[in-house]
Amino acid sequence: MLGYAWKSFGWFLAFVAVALGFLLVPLQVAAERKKLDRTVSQIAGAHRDIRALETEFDTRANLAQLEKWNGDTLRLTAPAATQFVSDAGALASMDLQGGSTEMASLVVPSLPDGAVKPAVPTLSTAAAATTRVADAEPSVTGAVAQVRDRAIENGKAQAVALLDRKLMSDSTIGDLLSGTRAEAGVRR
Amino acid sequence: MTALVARPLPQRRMTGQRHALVATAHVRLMMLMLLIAAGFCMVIGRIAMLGLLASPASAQGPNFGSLLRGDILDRNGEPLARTIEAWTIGVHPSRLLGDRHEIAEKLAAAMPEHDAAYFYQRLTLPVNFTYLERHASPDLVNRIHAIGEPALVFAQEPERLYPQTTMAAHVLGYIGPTAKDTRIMGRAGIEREFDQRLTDPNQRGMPIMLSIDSRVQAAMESELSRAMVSFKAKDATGVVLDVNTGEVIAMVSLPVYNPNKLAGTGVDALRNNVTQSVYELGSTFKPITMATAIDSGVVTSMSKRFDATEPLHIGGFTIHDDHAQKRFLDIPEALVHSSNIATARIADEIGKDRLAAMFTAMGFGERPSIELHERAGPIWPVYWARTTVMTTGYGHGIAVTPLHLANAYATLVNGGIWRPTTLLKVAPGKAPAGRRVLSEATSARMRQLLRLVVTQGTGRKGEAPGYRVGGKTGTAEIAGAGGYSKRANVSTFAAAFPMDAPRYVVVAMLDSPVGNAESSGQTTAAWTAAPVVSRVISRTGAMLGVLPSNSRDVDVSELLPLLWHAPGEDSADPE
Repeated sequence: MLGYAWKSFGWFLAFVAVALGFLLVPLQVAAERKKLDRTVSQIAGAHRDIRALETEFDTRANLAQLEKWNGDTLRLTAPAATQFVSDAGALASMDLQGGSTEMASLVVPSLPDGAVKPAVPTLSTAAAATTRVADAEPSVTGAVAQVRDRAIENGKAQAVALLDRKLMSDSTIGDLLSGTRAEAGVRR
Repeated sequence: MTALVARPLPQRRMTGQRHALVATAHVRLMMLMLLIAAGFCMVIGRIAMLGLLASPASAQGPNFGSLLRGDILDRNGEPLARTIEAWTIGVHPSRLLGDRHEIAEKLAAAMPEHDAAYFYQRLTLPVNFTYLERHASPDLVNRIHAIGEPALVFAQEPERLYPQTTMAAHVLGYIGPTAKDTRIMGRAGIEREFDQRLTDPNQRGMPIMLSIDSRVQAAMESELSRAMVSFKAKDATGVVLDVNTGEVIAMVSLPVYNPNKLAGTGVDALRNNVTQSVYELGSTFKPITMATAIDSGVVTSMSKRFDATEPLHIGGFTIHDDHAQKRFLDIPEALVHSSNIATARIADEIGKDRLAAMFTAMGFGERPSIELHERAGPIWPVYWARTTVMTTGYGHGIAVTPLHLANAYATLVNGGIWRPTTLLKVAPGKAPAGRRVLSEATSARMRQLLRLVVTQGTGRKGEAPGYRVGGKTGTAEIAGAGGYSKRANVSTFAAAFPMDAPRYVVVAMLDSPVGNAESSGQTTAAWTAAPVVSRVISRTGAMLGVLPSNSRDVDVSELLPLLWHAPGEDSADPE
């Protein structure tokens, strides 16, 4: 009798276990779905934030403001007709060594990324940004030097594309050549 | 003992049955208990799961992932109008706990655009709720929150923002309620015309891409406003039009308003002068008359001369030349010297029917075709007398919008095809076919003539080096009560570039400019409007994909010998 009771109790337990197991599946699914929804809403929130930030940047750097800054500090002008060349042949045949052609387009006094704080657009901000540009210059050369050192250390076989002599100063060409020699020495 | 009469066997069976029944009952009770326990477990487990895994309610906003109003972009994808969620700060004055004076002081310290008295007045209003600030930055919200007053409340509300502020305001329009209609909807410009499309839940996810190029628009606006301030003009308009597609690249009407902040905007600023105001555009009509003459066969040779020796008297009306040449002028000379007399004679030969037909074909008989609600119909002559034909030939007696003129110039130079203008970006190769108004040959001739006006005539100041500009100046006296004003005029320069293969038409117009040192005291288009066009083309030509070149130009060698120069002629006689 008791055995029968235990047996049916066992059956019942088994039934409960199975039922719970089945119940857990949709619960798990629902939980996963919830997680997915949360991720989707996070993505949407991130999109909204990106949008808001983009809009803020666009508003602070609107074209009228940029023109004001240009007028106040940068003084950039539209390129003149003589600064355009029609094709690669005309570019190659340009005499840059003679000193008669001024390469105004090579020197672009634009602000590097991140230098401009999203601050209230005032004259002082623009001035601060320009000083920061000046500060940034040595670090760029430092980075170039680092890169070159690393290339030599690794001793990688790198093809150095020798640019047109016209486009670089003699000292730059000299640096490049000595770098290549050093590299060849390490490899040997 | 004596009472024991019952048979034992059935009694035993009864006992066995009872035992079994009790056991079954126990089992069933146990099952029931376990079921209930399992139910509790399930409920508790579910609650635990919800508590552990569900996201907070705040993470899902009510407008989850959807925009309330679509974006408006320029042709390069730069946003011109967006809906963002902006912080608003409000107060429930009745629920304030702290000292109102103190809170007002703190608010004034955080928001310095108003003083403490203003905030005190807001805090004591007998209303349940009032706004304190509508466009608050998150930083400001934090600072206000730090005041620690529970009656100060914050909310993120959708807000329409025009990042470029006043730029292209008349194109974009604005949204908001009106006195009669409290719904917030588009009230002008694209916002009004495409209100349905911008708010439709199925379409608002897709931004509207305009034909406007914000860089060109900005350059045109800055140059025009500089000229307008410099010459103290009443208003100024500018249009840049793609001649091959009819796309409006820039549309400027000054004075302008800020669609972000409409309060205090005058009626003048709200009017889009490019499409809503009509002007008698004067000499800029002469090329249209010339094209009609060439196309209709009235003028078969460029060397055909017309008498401009003395003012033309017709029907009690006298037509003068501003810079009388007092000789017979051929076609290029009539345009280069902008002779009213010669043009009137040509218009007379063309006749009413052909001239009116040409004006109709150019779209001067109807409102400009553009996706804006703000459009004005031209003023068309009521009766075409012989004098009317003559005066409309040089742009008096007929008034059209600057957009009409720009489109007519596009037709003159693009090979003779009239296309409706549009503010929506046209996909490459999807330009409307348009209708032929002039022959290809006439259009080619017009390119030469317009180029001549800039190299040899009144449009010299409109030249942008390398961009091969061609165009025509027009200085029209303003008609008012009691005839034409001698002092106030409308100075227009309508140009196209590059003339060897025209791509864009640029029109600049200043209403009632006052001469100054910059213009040598002149108010004529050559000194006021033409430099604006020159500067705009110099600034934006390369951006628009026109490569400046000093070695290319339209061939005008066959027309050059037709220009006779008087000995010691003053090269600058602009009109």
